[in-house]
Amino acid sequence: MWTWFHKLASPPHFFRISEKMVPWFGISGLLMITWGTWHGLFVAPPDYQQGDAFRIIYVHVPSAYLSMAAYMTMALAAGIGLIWRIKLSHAVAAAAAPIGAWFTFLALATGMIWGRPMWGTWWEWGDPRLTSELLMLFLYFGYMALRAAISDVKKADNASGVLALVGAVNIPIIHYSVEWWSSLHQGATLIRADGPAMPPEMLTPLLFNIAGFTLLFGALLLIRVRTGVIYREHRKMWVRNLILKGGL
Amino acid sequence: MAGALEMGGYGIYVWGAFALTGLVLLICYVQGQKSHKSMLKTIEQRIRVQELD
Repeated sequence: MWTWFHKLASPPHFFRISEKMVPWFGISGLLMITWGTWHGLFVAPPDYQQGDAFRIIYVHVPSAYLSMAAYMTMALAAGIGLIWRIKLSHAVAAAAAPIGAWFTFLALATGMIWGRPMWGTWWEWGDPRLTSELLMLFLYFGYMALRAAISDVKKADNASGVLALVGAVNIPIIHYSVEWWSSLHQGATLIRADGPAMPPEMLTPLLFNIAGFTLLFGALLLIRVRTGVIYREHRKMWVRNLILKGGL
Repeated sequence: MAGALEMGGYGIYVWGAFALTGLVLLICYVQGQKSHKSMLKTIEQRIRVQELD
């Protein structure tokens, strides 16, 4: 297992493996999202309280879950990079940031669209779930701005890595905000002690979309990590050889 | 068909949310591919210049 990880951390090896993984992740993710979205929109019954408006859950929950998962990926990769000095880890952290920011934007935007007919308002500043999620968007922006402001790659890796780790404290706050404080936002639907609060015909498409979004995130992440690896290794012989042979 | 579009009176919200999601995922993919291609082009140019030197 460790040997496999160690081998994967080698940039040339990662570059070869990831090229094959991107289409598999991307296509299987799209297929799962297509199935989940179709069943979520046209097969699942309407909610007894929210009617058809509840169908926004099929894009809102996967986006919100990935906004946090991408941050955890970024913080974990930055932590590994800071402790074990693995260059590939910093490339992963840097690649996760813009994708995570897009998913956070999507979670906020689809939440606002859902909130308007259900709560009667697009936004509520006093709501802990909404404001902590917005804070995460600013953390992503801060991470990317910090990286862009430092021209030396190693210094940028270290400074932004510390910021990513410090910002990770916001993840449990987002997750438990609906339990710790009174919130307009509904409580947990999926991760509950007594099981998901949804019947199987509503739950299955949601699980498909969550899995599909995760696979798509994997494909998008690998594309960006590959770009980062090329940038970091562009003076190395293996990159020169690949580019000159047209193998990229 | 009209019922599916209407979504019980919430059509604008439901379809708006799904359309926005599709758009953002597309932007995410295009951005990634574009920056990868432009990075390759820049590095290739640099290598060619070095080879000429």
